[in-house]
Amino acid sequence: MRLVVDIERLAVTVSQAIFDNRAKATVCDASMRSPKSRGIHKGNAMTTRKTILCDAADARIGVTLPGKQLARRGALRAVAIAGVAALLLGAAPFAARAAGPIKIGVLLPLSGNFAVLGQQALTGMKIYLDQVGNKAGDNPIELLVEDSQGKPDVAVTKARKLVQGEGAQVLTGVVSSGVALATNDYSRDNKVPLVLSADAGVTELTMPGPLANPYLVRTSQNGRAVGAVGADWAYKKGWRKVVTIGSDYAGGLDVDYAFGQEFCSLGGRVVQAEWSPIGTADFGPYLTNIDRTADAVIAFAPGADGLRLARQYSDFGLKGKLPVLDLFGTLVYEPNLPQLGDATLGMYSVLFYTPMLKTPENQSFVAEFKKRMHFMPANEGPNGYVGAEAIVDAVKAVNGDLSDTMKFMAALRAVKFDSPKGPISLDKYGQVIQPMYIRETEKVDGQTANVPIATYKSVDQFWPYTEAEYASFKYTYKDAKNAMTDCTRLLAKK
Amino acid sequence: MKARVWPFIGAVAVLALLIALPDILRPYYVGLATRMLIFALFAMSLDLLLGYAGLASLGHAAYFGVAAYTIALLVLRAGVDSGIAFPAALVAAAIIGALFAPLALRARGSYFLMITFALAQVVWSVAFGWRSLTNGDDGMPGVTRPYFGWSLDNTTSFYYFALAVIGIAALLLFAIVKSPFGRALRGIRESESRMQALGYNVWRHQYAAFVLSAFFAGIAGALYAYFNRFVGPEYLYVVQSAEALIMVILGGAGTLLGPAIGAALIVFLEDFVSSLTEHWVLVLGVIYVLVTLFAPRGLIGLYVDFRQRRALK
Repeated sequence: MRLVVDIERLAVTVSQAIFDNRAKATVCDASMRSPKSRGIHKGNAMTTRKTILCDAADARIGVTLPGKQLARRGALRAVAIAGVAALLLGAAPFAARAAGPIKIGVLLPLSGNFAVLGQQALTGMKIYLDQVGNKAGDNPIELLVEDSQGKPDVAVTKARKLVQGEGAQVLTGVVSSGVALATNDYSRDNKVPLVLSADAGVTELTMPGPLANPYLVRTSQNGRAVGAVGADWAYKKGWRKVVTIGSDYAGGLDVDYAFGQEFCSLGGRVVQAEWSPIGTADFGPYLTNIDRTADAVIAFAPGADGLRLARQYSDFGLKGKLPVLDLFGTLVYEPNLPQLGDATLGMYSVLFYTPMLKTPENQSFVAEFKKRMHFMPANEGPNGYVGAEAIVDAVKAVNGDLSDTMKFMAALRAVKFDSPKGPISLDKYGQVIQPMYIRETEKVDGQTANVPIATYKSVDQFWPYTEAEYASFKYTYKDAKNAMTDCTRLLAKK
Repeated sequence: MKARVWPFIGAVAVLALLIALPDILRPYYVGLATRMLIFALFAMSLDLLLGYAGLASLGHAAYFGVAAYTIALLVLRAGVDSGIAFPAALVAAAIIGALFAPLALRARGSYFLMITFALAQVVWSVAFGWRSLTNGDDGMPGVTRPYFGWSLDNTTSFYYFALAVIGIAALLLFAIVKSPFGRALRGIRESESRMQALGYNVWRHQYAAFVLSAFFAGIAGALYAYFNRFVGPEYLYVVQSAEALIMVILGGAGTLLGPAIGAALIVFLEDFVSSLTEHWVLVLGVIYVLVTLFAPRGLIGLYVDFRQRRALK
């Protein structure tokens, strides 16, 4: 997908570059034809070097002295005028933050690779806000939506626009981890509350360390908890030797590393770790390489990669022979399930959500989501919903007065409610504590769906370790490529 | 005489406006103006290659990004002072330019384009893949701004810093294109063989233009790293290179003012239109098509046409 876009862009640029050569020739002709430059060409002998340059007319810009002096005087006068104007204008007060609706700035990718995720999160937010009549208590809520394009530099610009330009009091949304890191800096520097509610799973963001930010909470998830829960279940299932296939980017390393670490500490082992680049079109080489003596395959491949991996896994005849545990539900991604037919039947997956949860909160959410998006919600819809609910609850708790940012942050961290994802609360670092579900893909009413088969009731970011235990590990996921198959390294202490 | 005074008055008025800007606009728009200036310089640096030397490069993000990464790496990994990292970043960009030039200059036209593209993608994949050093696709947050006796941490002071640096860089670029060297470059653009016959060392001129262009792109990249306090692999990606090309072409290649206007316009439109509609990419696309149809020499070409038509009347 990404590659296709690039090639298209390339084609456009190539044709423009060729076109541009032609354009330049025209510029040249025009200046040759212009009466002034013709004069110059006639005046000079055609044999001198300069005359072959059609732009030679410019040579006349050896400006005479009086002109220069005049310009300088003009410059001084203009600068003086500008200076006075500046002083006058500087005294004018800027529009103060008017009392009125609570403005929530939403940063989501609405174009580009992550657009689908951004749309789902936005729908989730809107479902919740419509449900409460766009009000937090007596305070009307206004959503200001900006397209972050999934690019950190654009996102920071948009964050500035939302906060400084339009008076947003809270920022929320954010899908890609690069955007999360950049926006986190912005939030910390400018003391603006940031509610990550649409993925943004960088594990360290909500842990003590260089990224820690008192103005941050995350109601979506982090990368490692899902991996760790997956490992625990895999071990209990009786698997001891597994192969991992993970997307080769920060998110993939984070998730797979957490799996490997927990699996090793229980006594299992990753015997083979494969990394596929984002946008892998053909998983054939990876699938043929898989060690068939392993007990299971642990997969993580978000986006279109998951769709292709799921289909090829079945095409290669591995389905039914080597069970799959899909971390984050990337192969059995709900919007993709209808097109995959029976290919995903029997796959296991682990996520903090499944649309098959039989709770009143979830059932009404799923019904509304299906009406608006015409497919089943996966992770981002409920994430957006929960983020909006957390913000509204916190606004209510401070009676709509967001002037004391720390008080508002304390209210945010204290929120606790039953959501489509299950019971939600936040830890002291602002990271969500939520249930995790092991799901199996089955036929329900003629359609494949991820049915919950086991629940881990409340999983925090360090699960199953305490904060101190987690902090004592020597390596982090950044080291995943050297460590996945090496338990001593995965479990090494400082 | 009169004809020569007007451009100066125009330039002075623009300068005065630029200086007074933070007092007129709200902070967010000052930030946006800073971004416009940075990309104006980036587009001008590319135009030195594309518009003057006639070499369409699709790898310009490499120098921009290398400068940004040099700052981030020196500040965050080596603990070097942010101000000292600035010249180092420019040198790094120029070195990358000096290394790439001999490879790229073996070809012309679309082959040159492809080689510069490929080389830039190599740099991108290093930044993307060398996770222990560059954090990969997560990028490197926390870049500090330099401290030259006064803090650049607020929007206005950084705007003036950027304005000063970019102003000097733009003057240098103007001096370069007006110099005999710049004229020779244009000659080479029109006919390499003829310039060769006249005794010019074509390759050396192109090489110098390539390195200079990389150097100025480096200034823009370094400023952008300070501005966002963040560096990520997107800075090096082909999309960034292609966007710079579009800026130059939209504004009008072969003039320095044109690309600057094109860059400012695109930065502004992206920001403005994307707030109005999710389908902003479509709107921008239509604008590009319209410009291509009705102003094939870019916006500056429109103006030149207009003046000529008036002069003929």
